[in-house]
Amino acid sequence: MKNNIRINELCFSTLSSNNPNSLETYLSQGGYSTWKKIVNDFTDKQEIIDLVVKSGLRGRGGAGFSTGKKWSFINLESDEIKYLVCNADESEPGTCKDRDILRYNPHAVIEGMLIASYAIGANVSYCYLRGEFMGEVYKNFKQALNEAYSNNFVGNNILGSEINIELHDLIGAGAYIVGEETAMLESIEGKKGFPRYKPPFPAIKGLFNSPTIINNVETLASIPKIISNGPIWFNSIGTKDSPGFKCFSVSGHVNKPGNYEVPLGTPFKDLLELAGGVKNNKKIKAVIPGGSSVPVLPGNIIMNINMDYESIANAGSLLGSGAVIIMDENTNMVKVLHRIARFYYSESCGQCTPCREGTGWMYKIIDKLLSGKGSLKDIETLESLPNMIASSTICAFGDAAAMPVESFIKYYKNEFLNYIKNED
Amino acid sequence: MKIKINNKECVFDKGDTLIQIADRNGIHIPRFCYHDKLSIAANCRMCLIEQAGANKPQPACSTPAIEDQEYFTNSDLALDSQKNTMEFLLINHPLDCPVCDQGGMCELQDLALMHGRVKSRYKEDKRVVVDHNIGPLIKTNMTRCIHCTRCVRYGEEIAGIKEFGSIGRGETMEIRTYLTSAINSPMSGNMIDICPVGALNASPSHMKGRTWELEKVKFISNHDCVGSNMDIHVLENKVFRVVPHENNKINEIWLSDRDRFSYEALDHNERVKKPTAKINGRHTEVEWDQAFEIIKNNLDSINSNDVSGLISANSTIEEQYLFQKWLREMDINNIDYRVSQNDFRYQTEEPFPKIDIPIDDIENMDSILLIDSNITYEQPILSHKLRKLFLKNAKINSIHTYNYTYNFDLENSILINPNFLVDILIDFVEYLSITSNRKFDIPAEIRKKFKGNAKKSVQEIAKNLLAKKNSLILLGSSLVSHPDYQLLKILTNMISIMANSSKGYLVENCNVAGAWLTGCMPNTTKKISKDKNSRFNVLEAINNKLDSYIIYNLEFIDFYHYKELKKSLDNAKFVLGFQSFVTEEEKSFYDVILPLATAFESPGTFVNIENEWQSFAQGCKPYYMSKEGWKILTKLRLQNGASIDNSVDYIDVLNEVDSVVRNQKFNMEEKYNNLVIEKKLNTGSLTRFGGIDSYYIDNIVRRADSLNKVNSKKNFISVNKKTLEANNIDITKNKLIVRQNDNTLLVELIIDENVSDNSVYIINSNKEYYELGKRYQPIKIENV
Ligand SMILES: Cc1cc2nc3c(=O)[nH]c(=O)nc-3n(C[C@H](O)[C@H](O)[C@H](O)COP(=O)(O)O)c2cc1C
Ligand code: SF4
Ligand code: FES
Repeated sequence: MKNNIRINELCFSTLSSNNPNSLETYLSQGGYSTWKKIVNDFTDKQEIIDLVVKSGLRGRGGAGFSTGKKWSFINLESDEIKYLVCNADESEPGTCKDRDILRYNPHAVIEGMLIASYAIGANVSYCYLRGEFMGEVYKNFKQALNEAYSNNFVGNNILGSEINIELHDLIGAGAYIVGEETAMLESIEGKKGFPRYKPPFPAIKGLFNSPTIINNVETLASIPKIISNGPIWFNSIGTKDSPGFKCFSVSGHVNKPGNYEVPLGTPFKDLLELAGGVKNNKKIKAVIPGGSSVPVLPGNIIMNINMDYESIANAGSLLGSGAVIIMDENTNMVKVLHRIARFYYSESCGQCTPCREGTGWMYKIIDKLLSGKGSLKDIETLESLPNMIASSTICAFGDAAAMPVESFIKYYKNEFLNYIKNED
Repeated sequence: MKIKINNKECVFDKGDTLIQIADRNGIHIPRFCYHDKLSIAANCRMCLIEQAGANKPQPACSTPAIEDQEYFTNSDLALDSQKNTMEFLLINHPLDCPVCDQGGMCELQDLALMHGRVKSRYKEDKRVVVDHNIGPLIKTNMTRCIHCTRCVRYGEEIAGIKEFGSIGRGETMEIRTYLTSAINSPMSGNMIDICPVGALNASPSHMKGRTWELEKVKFISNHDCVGSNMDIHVLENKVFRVVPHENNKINEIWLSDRDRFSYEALDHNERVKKPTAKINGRHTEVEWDQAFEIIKNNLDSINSNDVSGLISANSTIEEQYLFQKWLREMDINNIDYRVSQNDFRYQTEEPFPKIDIPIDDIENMDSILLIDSNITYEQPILSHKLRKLFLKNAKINSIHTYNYTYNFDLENSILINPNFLVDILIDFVEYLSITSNRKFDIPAEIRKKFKGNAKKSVQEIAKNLLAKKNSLILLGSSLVSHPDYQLLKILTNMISIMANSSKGYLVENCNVAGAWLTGCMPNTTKKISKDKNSRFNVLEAINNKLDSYIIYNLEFIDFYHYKELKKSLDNAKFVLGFQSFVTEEEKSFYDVILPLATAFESPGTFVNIENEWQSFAQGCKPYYMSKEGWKILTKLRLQNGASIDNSVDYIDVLNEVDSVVRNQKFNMEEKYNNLVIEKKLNTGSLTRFGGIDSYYIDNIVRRADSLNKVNSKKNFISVNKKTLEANNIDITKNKLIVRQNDNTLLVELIIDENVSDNSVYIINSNKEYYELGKRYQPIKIENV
């Protein structure tokens, strides 16, 4: 293994301590100093937004959209109520980085939320956690939130200033779709988690019809250090278009699955090495580089690319949420797709016709193929469906459900053909 | 601003969506979830079109147009997207149109013809959805549902009662009631119309006919005072079903359930089939000519001053006109239509039953005061207008004797015992006399009643009316039987003048205005009557026990003085009925009954509360031997030697009514004399009150089978706890006895805090309540 990889320096920095989630640990690493300074100086909001723009930070929730640019969609002049929402619904199969950030470094998320709320002029912000976080994750986050309240980092007249920011935690009921930002807004409003059509975008009309910014846990947890160390520091890490660190959740056939925070642009090979290499020294057959909803890449392709937004996009996939799923040479790709398709079939919210009907149709065909009852016609139909679903729905779930199917057949069609007994 | 759609230049305003622009320009874009009366859902994805330069298709229903862009609804991208959506829609939809009730009028079927594949590629199992019983009006077939959520949005937005929702997720999502319960909205039937497929069907006509076999005739509602427009669909000379007919000034595209389903009464077994006459004490079927002769002989032998003619305010204006004309030609002048009224004081002439503003103008109001109106159930279309106002942030206030269920929220409300309605209105007058800058000469008799301090809640409402530019006061229709009805109207009028508000006297019947205009009342100043003598109104006619009564399209329970009427009829020498329906009991009181066609079976005209005349053609042929009212009355006039052409036609009648009534100017200003304020309702004890069940208000609707299954018809009363305790009622028991004079009834008790103190709320929904006694009278409650 290369010793010079910088690991766990940003969102996972508290892991170096024995008591990572405590307030003392966070403070000892300079935590809340950024926030204190902002409160003390009453820093210009635009200045903070400009810093984030310059840092080149891209949203870590999946789409990789520039965080600073998103914040600047908020009209700071208007006196409308504004909201910040932290997306902690992490449900993309393979992804488990937000869980560990909330678990081991909850104060960074809170400080990030405070800075973001301040910068966009929100006095109320919500952290929406997935229902399954009810155990340790929620406990740690809630404890941190209580500490932040009792130290008056949050609340009214923060640290003696005129600044008031309420921070609420919310627990979801376990639907993947609520991770989609507008479905999350519906859910916070007490409605069913149905994504909203856009426009209007949340920055114009979001929560309770007010301008709202939604950011991922990792995005927000990165903010305090970006502000205190400055954009130049952040730019010095990673690549030109993908600056900074990124948490990768490595899973599958590796010896040491887990979360690894490394600079963007780290070669895939190095990340694999960090994760202890492929189990039983087998060869890699395929890798899903960014969570179950991005296209799969064959081993020989991914072995030669770096883990940043551009390189993975050039190779035909997406960095997504950074969930790297590794499959060895013995993996049955039809069975993998069967499992993925079932997930999307049961998680579609059901609003849009193509997604509601198409996810079921794809799953049922794959299921039929697996049971040996499929035909060539079925594979033809299956091949045509992703394109019919993608780009035609309210939210990106449709694309998310389509991309795996399309890419699995593209690279591993033979395996599908092997399941056909009766040709017709 | 401009865009191009399919190379055609279209202008638009900022914010317009592509589908709106295309619709205005006659460019077809397929759609299912989009409906111009509902919010945008953008979920069906049928409306995808191409925007030049964009790689993704755009949903036309939710995408605002961008200036100078080009769009294509028929490019490959657009057509492919639409075809894809259609294929997805059909995979789980049954492809058995021949056995679907919606076949032939199905939006999915129509669009599938244009955008569908010839053969389905889907070989997997189809989704099957279990149906739940949601009541007698709507038959569901949810396997056919395409999840467009129009019905869900209709409930939330239009009906204002959220009964349907989408339960579950993805392919297993179901549209259904949240709890397994029946739909309760009085406008639920509209969901049948807006459902684009055969998932929600009209229960009474379900599977009984095909859309292409039906003839369509426009008709006007005969159950409330707004005159909703509707189409009756006729199959083999019978009303098969009723659907709304768009009229943006009145009902838009909606219809109340009452209007939609009342036709079921038309072949009720109490329909009168043939003329009958009492011969030797027994009713015997006779020929029409025979019946006419008996009538003539009897009326000729009775002094015309001893005859009273009473006609329904639900009859057409042609019938009302001819009825009074026939009677007045015989010098019979005791004519009236106000059979449910109980107060005839003060006014020299009954004020015109109207609303000051056009119905569609209600949408421009910003403050409303309801005076004891159960408007959501009594006048669903007007209630819908108020709901729209509410959604636009207008303030709706109410003074009521029961906390009625509305499909909007109230800003301020006052719950008051019916004995004190007059007093509270006087409080308004008093408060306004101080605060309003509109000068008004308040009669001294009213001034005498001023107390010096109006309740805070009265002040709030009055301030609200004064503060708003466009305000409207509506007097509830069931108050027509209130013993101080005239006083309530006078006070309402005063308040409206001082608060600079418009006002409306709501009424229960569809053609009260027609009856008023044609002078179907005594002592009218209208030219129609040359009579100068003082004559009997309905109350006097009953009390004076006349020799003969002629009752046109009214049942005995339609009379406020129900029991007194029966006594007088029993005592009379000759009782004649023109009736579509008659009960066995009623039959025994009549000497002759003529079978009358209902409004569905006759051409006619109704005049609604805004004085809008709406004519309609004959929907279907009269039942059995019954005849249209205008024909019967014309025959009777001919028999009396009236100088009319033997070949007179309906159109001649309409023309005559037009020239004699419609083109005449009436003085509609309200004048009152002798304003001695004497509250007649002052029971000093427990008071019975409550209107008529909205499915029991007239002879047709109370016989409509499905409607009458919507609510339980069990005998029950509602009383609040305080009142029960004051009357020593054991509230652990759910039964009690109510007593009015010598009559008692065993009823179920509902402890209901919506009832005002010291009163007993009874919704009159069956005959036993009428046998018990009258509304607005003292009542006693006793433990069983
Ligand atoms: C189906 C679907 C599921 C999503 N789930 C998540 C999620 O679990 N967590 C998350 O942060 N973002 C999720 N997103 C992305 C969010 O919509 C949104 O883009 C993100 O929270 C924005 O934050 P960022 O800009 O910081 O990445 C999901 C998107 C889709 C379409
Ligand atoms: S794409 Fe799927 S998940 Fe997203 S809104 Fe449409 S139906 Fe719901
Ligand atoms: S009509 Fe546009 S999505 Fe349904």
